[in-house]
Order: sequence, then C-alpha cells, then structure tokens
Amino acid sequence: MIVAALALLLGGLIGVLWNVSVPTGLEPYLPIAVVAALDALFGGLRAKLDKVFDEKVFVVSFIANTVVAALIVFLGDKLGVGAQLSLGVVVVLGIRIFSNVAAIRRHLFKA
Amino acid sequence: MNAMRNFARAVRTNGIVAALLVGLLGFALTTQLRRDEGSEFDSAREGDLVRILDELEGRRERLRIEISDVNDRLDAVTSQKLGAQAAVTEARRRADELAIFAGTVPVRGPGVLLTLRKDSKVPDANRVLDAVQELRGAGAEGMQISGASGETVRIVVSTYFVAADGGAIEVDGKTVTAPFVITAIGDPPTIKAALEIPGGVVDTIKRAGGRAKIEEHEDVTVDAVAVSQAPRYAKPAP
Repeated sequence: MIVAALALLLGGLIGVLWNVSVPTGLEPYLPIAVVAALDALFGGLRAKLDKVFDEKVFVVSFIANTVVAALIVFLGDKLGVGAQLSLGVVVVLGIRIFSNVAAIRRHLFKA
Repeated sequence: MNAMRNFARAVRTNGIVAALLVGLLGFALTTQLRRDEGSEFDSAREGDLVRILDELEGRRERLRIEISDVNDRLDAVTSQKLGAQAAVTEARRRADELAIFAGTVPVRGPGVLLTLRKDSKVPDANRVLDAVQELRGAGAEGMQISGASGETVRIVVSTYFVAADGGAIEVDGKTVTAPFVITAIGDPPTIKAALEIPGGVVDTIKRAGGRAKIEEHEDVTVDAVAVSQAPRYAKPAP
C-alpha cells in the first residue's frame, strides 16, 4: 500500500512538472476517465482494508472502469444524448465512490 | 477456464502493475486539474458548446438592440443640443445685425465717402438729411458724419439734423461744421449711382452752388457709436 501511495504522489508530481498537452480528441473524455479510475482506486483501497485485495482484480477493474466510462460518454455524444449519459455515468461513479469511502471510513475510524 | 487460471498465475506481478496504474491515475489527475487552468471550452463537449453559443448569440442580439436604443437616445439629445446651439448662434447673429443698424458697434466694409463742401452756399440741414435718406435708400448699412471741427456722429434711425449757428449743423446734439464728410458702408457703385441721379442730392447741391464729392473705397470704418436708448413710449405690439 505504501508503494501505491508513493506511486500516486510520484505520478501527480510528474503531471505537475511535465506540462503535457492533452490530444484534443481525448480532451472531453479525460475527466470521466479520471473519475472512473478514482472509483477503481477507492474500490481497491477498501478491498485492501477488508483484506481481500487482489492485484489482478484491481488492475482489471481499473482498466475496465476507465475504458467503459469513456466509451459510454463517447457513444452518448455520437447518439446525441452525450449530456445525459455522461451525467448518468458521473452519478453512478459518484455513488460508488461514496459507498467505498464510507466503508474505508468505517475501517479507519471504527465509525 | 483453466487457460484463464494459468494466465492469471503467470501474470502475478507483485503489485508493480497496480502501482503503475495508480501512478498513471495521479498523473492524469494532475494533468486534468492543470488543464482547467485554461479555458472551460477546451474540455466541453459539443452539445455544451452549442448551448453556450446559443446563449451568447441571444445575448449579443439583446445587446445590439440595446446599443441601437442608446444610439437613438444619443442622437435625440445631440440634435436637441444642436438645436439649442443653433438657436443661440441665430440669436447672436441677429443681435449683431441689429447692433450694426442701431449703431452701437463700429463697423467696417466697402463704402463711399461723401464730402459736402462749404462754398458760397453751404449745404444746410435739409440737404444733409436728404443725402442721408438717399444713402439709406441706396442700401447704406452704417453711416457717420464728421465735420471740420473733428466731431463724428453715428447716424442711426433716430438721428436728427438741425441747423446751427455759423453754418454748422447740430446732429444728435453735437455740432458739426462744414465741410461735412459722410462715411457710408454699402455697395460703392450702387451708392454712387443713386447719389448722382438727376434730381438727386448731388445734383441739387451742385445746382445750388455747393460741391459734393463721392469717393469709393474698398474698406472704410465707421467707428463712431451711438448710445442705445430704450424707448420710453413704444412697446412691441403683440
């Protein structure tokens, strides 16, 4: 877990220092992808605290979440319901993040 | 199924991949946050952009109508101001005109000098008045009479000529002695022609033995001024 935390910080640092410009084609989907990845991260964190963490599961869920979320938004844009679908995706991801964070909270603070 | 389990066992990478993905997440997160320092339009989607464009166009339309309204009001106020200014300019012009005719300001312009010489027969007050009337009839716009004694009197509507002692003439209370020089501002040829018509002033004076000389000038100055007097009896009729 320490390794993961360090990796997060390192990645963040690289992102701050290395001012890479996002390819315009990917730009609208990056926020959604980030939120989906965050959901996977919290899911992994909760699993770790529940002592059921499996790296394979984490990796697969991370990649799957990100790709599926971006795909759904992309499809929605093409179909013309981009705003609604992206809203739906964000809501669902938000709910999952909330529930994972609540479980983590219960573990950490026993409350 | 077995193939999958074998694959999963082979892929046991001891947390490196997970760490890599988490690092990637951190990177993407900060990159996205930095992106938001830029315009909000960069990451907006087409639908949002169209909506924003519609809103902006609506606002532009409303603002254009407002601009046109304000411009109209500006025009109205400006023309009002111009109207007032024009009225003031007109009033000033009229005042200047009236001042010229009332003799309260010195005037200059093309004109003639009419000299009435003293001879055996001196031009009397009547003759001088005739001369003044003829000059007026010929379009003289500013006149003054000066005499040998150096007195100069502006001739205005209310000017009177009365015979005085010794061949002099009293003009508006001042005594003017011969020879009289009447300076008149107007169109020189017209005035000269009017004065010299048979039976006119010059003719009459010559016949009576006096001498009259007319000089045309490009630029003469009538610098005597009359004191304007408010009428005591007359009032403007409504």
